[in-house]
Amino acid sequence: MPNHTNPRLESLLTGVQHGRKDVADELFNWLYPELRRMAARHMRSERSGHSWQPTLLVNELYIELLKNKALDPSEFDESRKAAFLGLAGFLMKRLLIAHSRPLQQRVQQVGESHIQSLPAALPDAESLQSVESVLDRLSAIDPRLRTVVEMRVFEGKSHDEIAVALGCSVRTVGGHWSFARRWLEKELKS
Amino acid sequence: MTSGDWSQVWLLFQELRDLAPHLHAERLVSVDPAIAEEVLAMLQADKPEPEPPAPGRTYGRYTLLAPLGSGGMGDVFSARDAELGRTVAVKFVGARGRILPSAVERLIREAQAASALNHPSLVTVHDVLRFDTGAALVTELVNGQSLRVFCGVARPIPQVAAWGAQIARALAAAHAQGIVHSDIKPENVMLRPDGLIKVLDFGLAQNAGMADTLEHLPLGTLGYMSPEQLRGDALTGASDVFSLGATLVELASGTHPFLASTAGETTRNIGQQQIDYTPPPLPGGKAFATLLRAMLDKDPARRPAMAAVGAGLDRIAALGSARPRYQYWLGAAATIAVVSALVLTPRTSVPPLPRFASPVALTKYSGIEQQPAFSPDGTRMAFVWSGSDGRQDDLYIRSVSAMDEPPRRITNDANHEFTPVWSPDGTRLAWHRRALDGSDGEIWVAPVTGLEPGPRRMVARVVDHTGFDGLAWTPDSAALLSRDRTPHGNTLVRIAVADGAKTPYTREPATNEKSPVVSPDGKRLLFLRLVGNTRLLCVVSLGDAGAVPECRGHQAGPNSATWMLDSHGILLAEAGGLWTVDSRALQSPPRKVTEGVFSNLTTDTAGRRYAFNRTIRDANIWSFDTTTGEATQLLASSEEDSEPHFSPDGRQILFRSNRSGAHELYLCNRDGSGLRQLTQLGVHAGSARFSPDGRWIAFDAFFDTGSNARGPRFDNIYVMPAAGGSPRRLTDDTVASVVPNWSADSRWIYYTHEKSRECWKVSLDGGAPVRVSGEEMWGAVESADGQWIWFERPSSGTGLWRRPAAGGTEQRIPGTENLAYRTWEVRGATLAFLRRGDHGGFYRRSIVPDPNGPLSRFAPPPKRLLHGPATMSLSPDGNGLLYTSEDLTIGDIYVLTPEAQL
Repeated sequence: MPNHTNPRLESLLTGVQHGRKDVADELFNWLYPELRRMAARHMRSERSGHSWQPTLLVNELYIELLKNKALDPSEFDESRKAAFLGLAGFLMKRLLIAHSRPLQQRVQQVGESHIQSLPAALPDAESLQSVESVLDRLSAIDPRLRTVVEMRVFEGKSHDEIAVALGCSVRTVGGHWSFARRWLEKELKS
Repeated sequence: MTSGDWSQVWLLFQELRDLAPHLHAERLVSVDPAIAEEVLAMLQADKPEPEPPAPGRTYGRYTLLAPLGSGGMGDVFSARDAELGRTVAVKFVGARGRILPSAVERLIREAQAASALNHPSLVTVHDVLRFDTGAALVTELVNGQSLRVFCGVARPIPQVAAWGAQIARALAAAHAQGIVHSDIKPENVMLRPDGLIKVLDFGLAQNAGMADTLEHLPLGTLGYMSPEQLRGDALTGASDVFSLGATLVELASGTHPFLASTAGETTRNIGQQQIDYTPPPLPGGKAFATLLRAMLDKDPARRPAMAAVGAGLDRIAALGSARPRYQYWLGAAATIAVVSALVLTPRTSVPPLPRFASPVALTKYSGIEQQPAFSPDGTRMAFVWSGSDGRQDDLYIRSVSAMDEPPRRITNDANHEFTPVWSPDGTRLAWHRRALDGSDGEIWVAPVTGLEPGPRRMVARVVDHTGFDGLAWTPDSAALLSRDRTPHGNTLVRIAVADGAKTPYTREPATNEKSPVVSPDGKRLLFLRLVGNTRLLCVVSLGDAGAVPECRGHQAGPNSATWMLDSHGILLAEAGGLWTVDSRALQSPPRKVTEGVFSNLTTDTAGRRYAFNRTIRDANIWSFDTTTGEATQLLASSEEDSEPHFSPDGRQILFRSNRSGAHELYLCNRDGSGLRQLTQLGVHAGSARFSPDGRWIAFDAFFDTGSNARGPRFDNIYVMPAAGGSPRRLTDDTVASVVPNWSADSRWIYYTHEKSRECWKVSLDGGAPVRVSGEEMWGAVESADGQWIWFERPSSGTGLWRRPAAGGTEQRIPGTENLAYRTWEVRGATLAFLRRGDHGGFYRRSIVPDPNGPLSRFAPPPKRLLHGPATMSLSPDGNGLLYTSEDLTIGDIYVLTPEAQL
């Protein structure tokens, strides 16, 4: 029989629910490309406004996973859904933090694993809302700041790519990113 | 700061960014000091961030060409040196913030110092580049293969000794200058096509500062560390002697001397375990083993110096090659063939990477669809579908465009069908079918007109134990290429469609080959070759009878490969994504096309696109509590965990799993804790059963001939102490012997000849096996009183049977007609089994004194029972039931369209 590969999703989620912190990184490695895929699809269907809307996106991903049976529908109850959403939110927030750190500081964070460390308590669905609220506040300053952050942090786009997508110069993107990064750093610290 | 304040900061920041710095203060005079301060801080921080290294990016005079790999320290690229017009390697260190800047500097100093020795086997450092965030070493580019490619199969001693001598001489030169390598392992030693060894990556491990705890080190690095290195002691050259010793044992024996499934166990083995290496009886063998043991002494002070190691290995290499034996020359010849094929074709330009639109599902049936194949005219596709109930793999064809129509079923029988492939003239379909006795394969061909299949015909039988991977037509539509058991191993044979005549296609000894694919222009063949655990991608010209395949290896190796439409490019599915490599420059590094999981890649030549399938399958052991009626998953793994078996005291669970890549035996406590790996054979082991006294474990295992040419050829019965230890083979490797089980006194092991289905038993103390029955007896086990043998006969009858142990009439047990294959157990006075169909579920009854007593249903059937491996066990107290459930199965076929066509 041919090789079968498996995203280990179901057992990873169970592991996280049982307090296994070591699997969070693996779950993240799986989740990140999925979220990027979902976001790319949104981009195509909603050409005018680009926004990630984390809660909607993660909810939709969750439903899709149930539908195509990547997650076992019979295993799922509200607490498991909350765990899934919470974890997604938590990982998004860690991404924001990791990216907002000034470069020098990142270099000096020797040995610190910035994604793997789960908090003592399992994050709940509120962590997703807190990511949403941070992005909303950034958007209130300038909606384009939020777009740049989403493209760079969540979609992993380079400044060149963002500039093409937004129809502006790379230098402008750099300015947006500089501001947003420092703002995020202050905002997430408090 | 309020939101309004931040808005003001943002506006001012944007405005001042375009002004000269000396004008900033002036503009901010009238602004709130807190806001002004923030704006200035923002402007200060507003520096362009360096982009990560990528092909095409230029650093000084170096333009990156292609990624060569990535290590713990950073990424390595090939690059063009514009000034001197040569190709070099650029290794980025510290760019990911993994190591301290001071460590980066030390590392650069040591690499330069080693380079300064001008030893031919030490890599020359040309240049050092420094950035804000790290540095890059520019070194000579070594063309060749890392020694990792040669691991996994026992290499001839003279060859290993000759390689080792070169490494030792290079390291001795470094040690003389006080430089310790500290990360000697197969990955860090390259073999050039001309046979010269090059040692890479000086000082990297040591300078990593060991900031991470050992648990976080990849096992690949950990496994070669010396005991003193694991303790964190200061290192001398003796540490490199140890690491080289471990590397040479792995090359000579085919298996790593210390590596275990966990970091803790590996560490313990390095610190305590003596190596278990028996050299073949050849000149130099003994001396080699003695030298290796000395190199691997736990006490660094007692190890020989590196210079002495080099001299010793030189002598052994000379001794061994003086009187070679035939078998070893074969091995050496194979290596020379691989090595001589490693000549790197210089590339002046790198073709653009293919880009694909997101994969689009071509099938969305329930169950598993896989192994797509397109007709040459591109209108029809053939594929394997498990049916909506997921039970039986059969062959289907469909018009490619008819997404919503049900597919046309081509086969409908109890056999499983695999690997459909259309003849190049478009008139016929060929496929593999697993023979009913489960071991051999058959090749069938049927004419197809439109979607209408004609009468099918068996062309030939082939032996393929490991599953059917790949079938190809020759361009003239007259013959097929398939894997078969040959004197050389499991190699490709050419089978004439007209009369089934076979001719060996490849003749490399001790290899295992699969997945043949002919290029769209019909000129070349690609296939995958397994040497031990290393998968090689090979390409050979089809027209030229004497052509030697050119092969390339990669750390993980491709799972699947197909030709690109231009008949030059090759698409590879490996390492979590899709890669491409040019067949004309096979040794150049593959380039990543996209992320994702891709299986069974295929080319739709007429449709100018590609297809693949994505399958997710996860089998787990479930524990059902008969007192509460609750089922829980015993262990989480994404691979197959199966064949659970309770120990006689009910406290331990024996099972098999392929979580390590091979099917090995594992043991855990009843609650799933305390998981440990029992075997490390790199084989297909299974059917493991505790002896009734709890002291032994019997199992069957099949060694792939590709991984060990001198190993057993058939499935054999093995026994090992339940407390762990070396397995001992009980059967003589003349016939496939499977499904062991025990006599009541724990002294005999019953087993079955897979082909004839005869039942035999062999004494634990050795001696000749005794025939128990000439009739089919499968899974035979003695009842607790030793009076009866219980068995099933899946090929010749239904249900469960018993017969007096001393001989006599066989009786079928009433009520067991719908027995699920291999899903039953006789333990103590209880029989338990799974009944399929109506009223399905787990049933049990007391069998003493009357075997035909009332049955009681004590557990519901699993949602989806894993078919095949023995799948249930009842705890001695009767409260716990273990079974294997296929928890997740999804499989769909997708197409991948090159973006230029959109």
